[in-house]
Amino acid sequence: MTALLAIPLLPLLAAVTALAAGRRLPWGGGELVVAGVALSLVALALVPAGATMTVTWFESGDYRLTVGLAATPLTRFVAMVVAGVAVCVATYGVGYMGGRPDRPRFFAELGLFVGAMLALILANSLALLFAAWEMVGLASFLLIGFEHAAPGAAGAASKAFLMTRAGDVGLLLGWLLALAATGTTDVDALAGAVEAGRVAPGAVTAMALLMLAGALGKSAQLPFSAWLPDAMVGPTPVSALLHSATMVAAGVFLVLRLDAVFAAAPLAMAALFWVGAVTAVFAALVATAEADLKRVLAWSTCSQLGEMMVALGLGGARAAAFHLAVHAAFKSTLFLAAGIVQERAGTRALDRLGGFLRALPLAGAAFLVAALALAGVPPLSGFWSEEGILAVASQHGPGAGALVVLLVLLGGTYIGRAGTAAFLGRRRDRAGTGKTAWTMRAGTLALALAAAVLGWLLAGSLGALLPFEADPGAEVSLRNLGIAAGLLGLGIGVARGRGGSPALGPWPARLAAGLSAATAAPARWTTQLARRLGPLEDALDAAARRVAGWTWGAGEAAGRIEVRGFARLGDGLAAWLAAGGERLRALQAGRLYLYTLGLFAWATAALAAGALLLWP
Amino acid sequence: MTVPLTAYLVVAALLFAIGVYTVVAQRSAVMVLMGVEVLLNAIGLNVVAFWRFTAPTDYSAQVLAILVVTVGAIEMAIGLALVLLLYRQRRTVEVDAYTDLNG
Repeated sequence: MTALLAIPLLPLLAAVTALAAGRRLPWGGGELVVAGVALSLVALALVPAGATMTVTWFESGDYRLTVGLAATPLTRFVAMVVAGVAVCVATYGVGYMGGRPDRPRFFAELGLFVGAMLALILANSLALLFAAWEMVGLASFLLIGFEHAAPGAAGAASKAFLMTRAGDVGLLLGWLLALAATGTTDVDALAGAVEAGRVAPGAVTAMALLMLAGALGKSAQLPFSAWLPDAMVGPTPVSALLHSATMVAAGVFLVLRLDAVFAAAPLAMAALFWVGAVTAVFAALVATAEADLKRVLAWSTCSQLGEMMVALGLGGARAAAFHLAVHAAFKSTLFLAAGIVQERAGTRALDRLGGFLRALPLAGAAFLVAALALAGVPPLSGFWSEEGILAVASQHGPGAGALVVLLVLLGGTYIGRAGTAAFLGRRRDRAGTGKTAWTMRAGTLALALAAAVLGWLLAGSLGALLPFEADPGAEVSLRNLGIAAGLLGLGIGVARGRGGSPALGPWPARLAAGLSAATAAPARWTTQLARRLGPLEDALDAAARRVAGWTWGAGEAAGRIEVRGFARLGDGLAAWLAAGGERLRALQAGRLYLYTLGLFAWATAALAAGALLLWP
Repeated sequence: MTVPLTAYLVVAALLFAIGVYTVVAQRSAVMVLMGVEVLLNAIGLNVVAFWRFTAPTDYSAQVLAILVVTVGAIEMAIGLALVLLLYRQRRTVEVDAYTDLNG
């Protein structure tokens, strides 16, 4: 239980310590984050399967809000992937950020990012999941905007934050709906209620669609894709982490975690499939024409996540989880290798790179391995997971199978083009021959190793780690077709990619411009609306001030009435009574005969009155 | 010959009138006190006369008459004591000199 709690807390603790004491440490706090995440990985290995820890946050009537962590097969698996990638990326980050004075802030934000992601994954309560989800969003905002002085960084960070936030509204509404339907925030209770049919089908569909919006925002699916390529202005370790394990994986993970809810909502599954398919094809096409190495990889991430969404939409949760892990390994490798190239060349523009295989053999080899893995070349990791997705898709008919084959083909094309443009040919940059830090090489090497063998291990001896039930194997013809498509794509990319020219002509670039314009328009409208809200707010302010003024005036008037009216009235009454008393005093003259006369006159009058009354 | 009730009542009324006049008109505190005594005795005469002519067997009227005399004696004692004190203090028995004793 302590181990379970330690998993998300250790990176967070490391983050706080790095921020406080990073300035005095030789690696600027990076060693703390690396150690923290590595310890979480150890704790993750130690924690027994099925361990849970739940506390009631508060109860209100029939509603019971819990907060807790659980180590189910799925959460353990994804958490291991996250922590494993994060250790390698943080190690790389130590070298990448070497010598910079603002390192502690970077490592603190990185630790927050990883810790929040681990909390998100292990959470067994929708409330905690949502909180961690927002924390991941916040950390990504901070990290994308880390170089806030660089042009475009602040804009890209805000874009990422706001676009994912648009999806997060869906997640918020979704889990509130789940709370209303089941009375608890427990994920397992929700899954049980949905499976037992205790929740109305309409509510399940609405819930699934709302949560899908959150997942699409986080995983940069259409129409929320535009933030992901722009997020490339962040430091390379951030890109690597953001694109592989921590940020974008959250969307896919959410669908996996709420598998029971989605399985009961065919409409949401169909939406998942179609959004995934459109995003995957669109993003892959854009990636073939993108002129920036890291942006190629970003669009590739969109495409690969779309592929996972396709698999999820077809009910292939195991294949999607498998691909999530494998993709995390090879995509982070690609980013780290690209980061090494960028550091050496001083640019990421594909038409100014080239010939780095000789200058940076390690980065080149890592990139090659990861690219082949992405293209699905056996026996590298991508082959195994794409085979799984292919199997799921081909079971659903030739159309879905053909879609996945097309995606493999496009994947091979864009990554072949990017690799060729960056590593083959001759050097075109004028940069010197600096030395790459050993930590950067170590992180890249470890991830490249994972990209090479992870698929084989998970498909074979470590298959028990994968969550969900195993599927029957793919048909051989489609498997061969997949391999052929990957190789063909690589061939096209290598053949046409020299010098960084677009592999399939320049038209896909226009797609990206179109999307950018299409997503910019609502943002512009929102901005204008917000501007228009300003005067309205001023008017409200003025009205409130006027009401306050009136109240003040009324208070003043009441005070005046009190002083002039009541007080004067009281004074007058008192004075009148006093004067009456004075006048009455005159009767009391102290003259005995007057008293006696009064007495007798009174007695006579009384007797006379009595006699008159009693007269018969 | 018997003296009729009316005669008693007339005498009592005269006594009462003399008493009232004395109390109202006399300036001397001693004379005022004497007027009060006359008033009391007028009432006493009335009481005795009514008893004698209406209910001679009922002795409660005699008790009332003795009570009136007793009260008169006590009143006189207290009244004279007060006047004596006032005289010692102010060297006069004129009631007009006592007007500053009002409330």
